[in-house]
Amino acid sequence: AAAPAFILKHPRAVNVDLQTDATLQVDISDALSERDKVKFTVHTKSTLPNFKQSEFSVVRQHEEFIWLHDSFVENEDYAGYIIPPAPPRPDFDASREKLQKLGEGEGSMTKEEFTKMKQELEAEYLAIFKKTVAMHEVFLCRVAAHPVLRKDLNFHVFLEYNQDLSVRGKNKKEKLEDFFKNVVKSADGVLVAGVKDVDDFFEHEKTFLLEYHNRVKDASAKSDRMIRSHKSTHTTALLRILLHHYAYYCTTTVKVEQLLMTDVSSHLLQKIEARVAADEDLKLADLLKYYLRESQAAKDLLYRRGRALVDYENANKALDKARAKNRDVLQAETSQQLCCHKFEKISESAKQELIDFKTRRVAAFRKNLVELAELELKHAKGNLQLLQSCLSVLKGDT
Amino acid sequence: PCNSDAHMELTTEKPSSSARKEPPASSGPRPAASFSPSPAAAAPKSMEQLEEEEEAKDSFDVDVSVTNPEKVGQYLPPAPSLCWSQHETSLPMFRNKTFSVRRRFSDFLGLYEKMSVKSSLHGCVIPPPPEKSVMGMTKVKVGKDDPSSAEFLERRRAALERYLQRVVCHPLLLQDPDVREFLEKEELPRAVNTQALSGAGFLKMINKASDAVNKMTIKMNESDTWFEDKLQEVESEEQQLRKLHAVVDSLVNHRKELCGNTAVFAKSMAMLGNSEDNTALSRALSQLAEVEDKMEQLHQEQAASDFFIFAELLADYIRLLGAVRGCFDQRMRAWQRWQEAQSTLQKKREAEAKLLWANKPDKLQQAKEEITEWEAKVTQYERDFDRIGVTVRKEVLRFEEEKAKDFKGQIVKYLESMLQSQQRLIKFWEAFLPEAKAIA
Repeated sequence: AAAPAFILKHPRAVNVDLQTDATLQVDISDALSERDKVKFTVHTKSTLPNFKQSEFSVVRQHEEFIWLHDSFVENEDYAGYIIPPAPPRPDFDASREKLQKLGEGEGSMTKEEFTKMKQELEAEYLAIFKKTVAMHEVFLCRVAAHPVLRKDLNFHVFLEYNQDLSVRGKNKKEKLEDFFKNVVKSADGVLVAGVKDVDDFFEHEKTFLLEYHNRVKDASAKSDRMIRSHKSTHTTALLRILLHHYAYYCTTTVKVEQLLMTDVSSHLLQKIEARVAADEDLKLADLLKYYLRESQAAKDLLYRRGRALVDYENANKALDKARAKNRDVLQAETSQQLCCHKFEKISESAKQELIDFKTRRVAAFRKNLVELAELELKHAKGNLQLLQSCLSVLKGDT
Repeated sequence: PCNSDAHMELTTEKPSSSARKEPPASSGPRPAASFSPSPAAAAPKSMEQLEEEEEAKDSFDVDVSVTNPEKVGQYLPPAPSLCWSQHETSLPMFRNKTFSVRRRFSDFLGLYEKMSVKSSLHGCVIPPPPEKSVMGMTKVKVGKDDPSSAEFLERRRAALERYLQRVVCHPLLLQDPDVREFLEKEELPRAVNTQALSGAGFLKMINKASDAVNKMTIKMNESDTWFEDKLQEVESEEQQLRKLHAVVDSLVNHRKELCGNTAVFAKSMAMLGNSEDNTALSRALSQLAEVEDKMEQLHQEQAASDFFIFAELLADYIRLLGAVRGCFDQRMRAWQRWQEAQSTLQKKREAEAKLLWANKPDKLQQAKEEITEWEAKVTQYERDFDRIGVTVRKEVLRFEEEKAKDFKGQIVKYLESMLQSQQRLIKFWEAFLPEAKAIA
């Protein structure tokens, strides 16, 4: 069985509470999943004069999103902001492998079994597809909602330029460079994390974020495992088979219509069971995954500020030395002023960013936890009704 | 083998219809709680207490229960003696209305052994005893006090109880003197030859016998296809049950895994809640952790349900269907015995004719006697065959009724337990929802 090609129209985004206003609205209106890539239709509505039209669409692939994200990270002017985390790469490998195995094993199972498994795998594929679309959309919405990033030129090009951006994936050399940059960054990170900040606010944030990030990471991994288990515990499938068995081998008075009703009920119970696991995935697992990435982006901001602080302190020391030796004083003064200015600029915007992060986080958790609880209740009540109807049929069958 | 000592308890309870689990109001002479260990074994043993009562509904029913086993030679508080009240319509055959005896596991096997060879019970579906589990019993003997050995003991106790209940529900078996002796007699002689049943099990034995029948040269020509059709149905159902049993087993395993993963997740949520610096959100996350803990509890109970309600039911019926197949085999053997007798009679008649021709008057008398003997046998065996056919038909119908009742009962029980689960789930989430809404 070949990997299915899916087209998604007007998918709904993962729920992250964001300010949307009429001046710039971005969404992914369409998506197409092909053999080895996904094509997203990025749709923009804007009243800003920067754009040629008020409404337009372009087609983008995952690499182009990454290019945009990396351009933000590498931009020194944005050092004081939390850069919205890049969406994860669409990963259909596991699903595709399963579909392939199913195709290979087609001869060894009944047509019914094959159809059922194919449907299940297609549903799984579709769920992954919807998620990846949502992740990419959220990234764009976060950028569009940010007062500074929304004005970025690369962002506008991304939204408007209707040709391929030709951003090839990084070659080996570039990947190696990235690797070393990250090594340096984390070494720096350790250094910076060790230095106690004079500013209480940042000191608190540093302590908080380090712990929070680790715990979200743990919770995210554990929620994934739990939900996977949930998805493979097929209680209602068993119930359904047992009801069939009972109807076929055990009833002395055959009330066919009534027993058919238990089959309908148990089939619906199966649907609810699947929905419960899917909703937990969406409202809990995805939420945790998202905040894992966001908290990392916040940590990155703190590291950048920390490095700016170190640079500033070093510039101070250099200035003192220059003054003492009375050599290159002007140069040292200029350098020190630049470092001071950079550090203060980052600190100012970082404070606001971190406050906004907290607000966003609290709002997102509230929304998802409320929705999770409401959905669990809805499904449980649905189950209750179906179970009661099954029971009344069985108890009435003499 | 596990051994136990016999223990009899006499009480004179006032009859009352539904007081199933009341402790004895007045007890008659009660043997001391110390038990003399059986001389043969050195290791700690287990005992089962067996008590009976008569059920309110049907005057011909006897209700049996097997209570918790105890260990001899180790101090353990004795299992609570449950004395059951009984109904006025007491079965005249029993000496007492309520009584209990101690039985070893091998005694149960021995009972089956005795019933299975009785010609008077040929064609009957004799309930097979539970299988022995060497692993499980070893753990218990070694004194391991972990949940798996407790689970094993409970599983065995429940299986023995179901076995005995099926025996006493059978109108013919209840009349059987060996059954009555099993229920009533203080000390039973040690059962021998239970090895065959305890090892690879009951089904192996049935299948071996079946093969032997199939290998017999003379085949039956059935005018009435009921027997053939029914046997096919039984075989197909047995296959289905095996598949189902595998499904249930796999479900139990997945659910246990889900349990573990839920517990671990709950802890990680609690930790996350701890480090969250927004107060209301922190509290909500801790509450969520508690909800997940409660879910784990639900999953545990559901796993037990899966097992005790379904897995055991399916295992029982796989064996019972084997027993039903056994009846059909018995009928086949009865037919073959009749056919062989007819063929022997024919040979005797031919021999007589030869003797007449050869004119040997002395041997003729003997030949005539043999012919008479075999004519009687042929008549007898034909009657046996017809009778067993009637028995098998009746038994199969009775068995099917019991099976339908059993399956329905268990499915209903399971649905009710699922229902309860959902109701508790609703309570958990309804308590959580306001906490989530209070996040600000």
